[in-house]
Amino acid sequence: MLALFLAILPAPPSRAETATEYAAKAAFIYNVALFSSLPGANGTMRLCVLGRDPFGAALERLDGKAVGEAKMTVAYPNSGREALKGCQILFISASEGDSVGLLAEAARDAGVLTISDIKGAARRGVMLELYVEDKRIAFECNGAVARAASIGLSSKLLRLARAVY
Amino acid sequence: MTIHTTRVLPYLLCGSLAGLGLPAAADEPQPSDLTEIPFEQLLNLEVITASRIPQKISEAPSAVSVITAEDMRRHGYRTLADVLRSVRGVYVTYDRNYSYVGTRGAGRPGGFNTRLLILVDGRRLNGVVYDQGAVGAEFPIDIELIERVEFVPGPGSALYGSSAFFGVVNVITKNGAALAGTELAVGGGSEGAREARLATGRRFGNGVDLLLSASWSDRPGADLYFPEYDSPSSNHGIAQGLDYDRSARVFAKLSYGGLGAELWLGRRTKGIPTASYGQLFNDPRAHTKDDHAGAFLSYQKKLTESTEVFGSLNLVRFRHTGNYAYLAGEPTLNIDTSDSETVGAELRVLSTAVRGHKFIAGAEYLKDTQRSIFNYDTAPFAAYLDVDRPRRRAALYFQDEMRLGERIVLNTGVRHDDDSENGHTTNPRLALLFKATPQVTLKGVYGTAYRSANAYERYYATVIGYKLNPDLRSERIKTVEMIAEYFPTERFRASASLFRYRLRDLIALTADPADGLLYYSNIDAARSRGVELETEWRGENGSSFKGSAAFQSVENAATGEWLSNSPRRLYKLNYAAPLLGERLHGALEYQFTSRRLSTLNEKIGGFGVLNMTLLGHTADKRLELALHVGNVLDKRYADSPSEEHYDNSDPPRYLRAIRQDGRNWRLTATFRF
Repeated sequence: MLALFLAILPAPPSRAETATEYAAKAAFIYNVALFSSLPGANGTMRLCVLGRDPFGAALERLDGKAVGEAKMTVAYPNSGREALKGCQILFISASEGDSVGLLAEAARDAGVLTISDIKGAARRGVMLELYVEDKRIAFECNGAVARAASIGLSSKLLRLARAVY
Repeated sequence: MTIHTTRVLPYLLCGSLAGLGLPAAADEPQPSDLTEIPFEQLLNLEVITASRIPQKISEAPSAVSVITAEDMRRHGYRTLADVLRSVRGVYVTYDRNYSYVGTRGAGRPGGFNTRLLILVDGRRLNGVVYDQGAVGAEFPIDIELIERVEFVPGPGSALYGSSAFFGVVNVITKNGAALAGTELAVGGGSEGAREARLATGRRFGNGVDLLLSASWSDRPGADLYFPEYDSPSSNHGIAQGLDYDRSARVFAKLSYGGLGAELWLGRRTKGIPTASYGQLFNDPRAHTKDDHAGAFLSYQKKLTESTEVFGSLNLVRFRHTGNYAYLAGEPTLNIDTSDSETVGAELRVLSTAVRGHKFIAGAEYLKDTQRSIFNYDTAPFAAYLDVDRPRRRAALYFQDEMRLGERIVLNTGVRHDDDSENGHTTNPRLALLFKATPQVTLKGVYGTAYRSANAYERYYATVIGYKLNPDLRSERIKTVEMIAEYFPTERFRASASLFRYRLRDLIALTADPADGLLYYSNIDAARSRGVELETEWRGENGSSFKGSAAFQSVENAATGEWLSNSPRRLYKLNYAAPLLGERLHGALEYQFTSRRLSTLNEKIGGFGVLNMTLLGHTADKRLELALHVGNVLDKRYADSPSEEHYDNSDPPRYLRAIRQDGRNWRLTATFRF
């Protein structure tokens, strides 16, 4: 029986081009910042993560990074209200699933770009919804809400979205 | 299967333990800065999704434990009882016939889980004659078909009605897409155990999802020695070939859009080695048989973006047959059967249409068309009891999750039940949730629950020594619980819970001093309080750790006496990790139960049991091997018997403890195609 177990021992893992989910999602957010025009971003572009942080160290890379003329900073606000005051981009974590609709609405009124990976987030008013499909990052875009918030998403971004509504 | 475990085990053990001790090799790729690569390329990058701590889908505002299919596979669980044993604060007592779940220190041996509600995909499984909840081999659904198990401790009557007294176990089954192919599994283990399972499932292009499964298991069991029965006239205390456990199950599930249909059948036959209920010890005829059947039809539809409606038609049948041998040298057998059939309809609306509210409103109607008990002797035939008491039950319930600002959620729920036999009852639940910080949540929960007297307690009066009690009422419980949860990332969580339960009108068998007859009466009251602590962590490499401790005290409210079969401390540790990359996994599990008092007022020693599982698969995942070793350290331990565990001697000899399995193993090969 030991032989049986040994027989199915692993071959060395193949080194395909891979990344962890949240490292890829962090890079996605950076690209969104590059390809959007956001109101209120003067010199600094603040990215806020609301709720339980799924990124871990993956966002550290973005802190202090240049986005065109501006510099990106990362913050972890304690409440939605706090987030809407000083942030240009708001990532709504899975832990905030119950209140994502209300947060999206408030962010729209405050002109904050919202991103989330909560299932159905875009339909509930979040501007960009991230998900993993076939082991790749994919996203949907709620363009109507972005327009209502006077946020300009580049055509490149919209072209790559799986759905825009 | 001829495998010499004694020779192989040490190697496997050493290998796995060494592997578990090592920091698992980080397979995580570290590509160059992902922000530097073009956007299109980023979206083409293959991503690895790390495992997260699973989130409850139950609507209960409680400290829910979630056990996923992956957890069950990694730890080699075979029954729902195995799954529940891993849950904080839960202990399971096995009397070598049925398994009894104890929670928060309350778990009377022989209680048949009447105070725990078992749901299969949201529908009640508890019987309507004995109210019993099936968690052992008699549970009619294969563990491999379960997507997740959610254990909701605390009173659930505000949502589910009767029997949701100490908690609710919701078993959620897989769909065909989760299988995406065909699985053939064969296995063997200690004492000649054999099992086979065939399952197939897929989602078709047109949206139809189908899952079909059938399984069979035969565990002949060992000869068991009972020192209490050790006499020349009763085979020196050895029950020969009476621990057998055979089961067969069939499952089918179909869904298309919002339509769903589900069917399951399960039969389990178990030998009785303990001579329970005053039987003749070591009589090969003694056994029980449990047949479960269920069929559900459901429809779910989103009426608007914020309102969803769910309707369901259910049919559940259950037959229990006990074959009891009381008389030596005679062909007479006593047969105790119960038959039940319940048809039910349910309608539920879930709505978030009102800002800041999440409403659930529902109505349920259940008709127990058959609810019969028949007790008779064969050869010569003599009937002692023959009753059939159909009944109707109807209920309305409502729950609202109200947001009071950004940090406070008030969850209120109430359910009104009307029962043609037990009258009506209303049970509320109130929970206040406060998000102190994004990482820390505090909850306070108040609730009540009830269990209506079952048909057995109401109508079981065979001619010998029993009488009926027409005044029997429902049992009641009131609970208060405070929960603190620290949940900083998707991979780490810690929680603490403080609870206080008050139970009254508990139904127990009593003797009437006037005529000496036994009858069921609402005589007992009890109080329980305790603390549960739990921490859970998931590593990036696929490893996972869960540890919990429960400290509890349950006493008779009138006398202050320590209740029987109520351990004061429970500790659990679960650890699983990849051993050599992705293809070999090891899991260790340790469970400690402190000493308990038996119904004979004797102490039964505490024990710690270590279980181990190795799981490996080929590169193409077509073959998976699982080796499970239970009680690796061969710890000698026993569970508490109940008042029913005595033989037909004069005077009857009562069992003082029921010994559990020593080291045991099982090897399963699963082929996927």
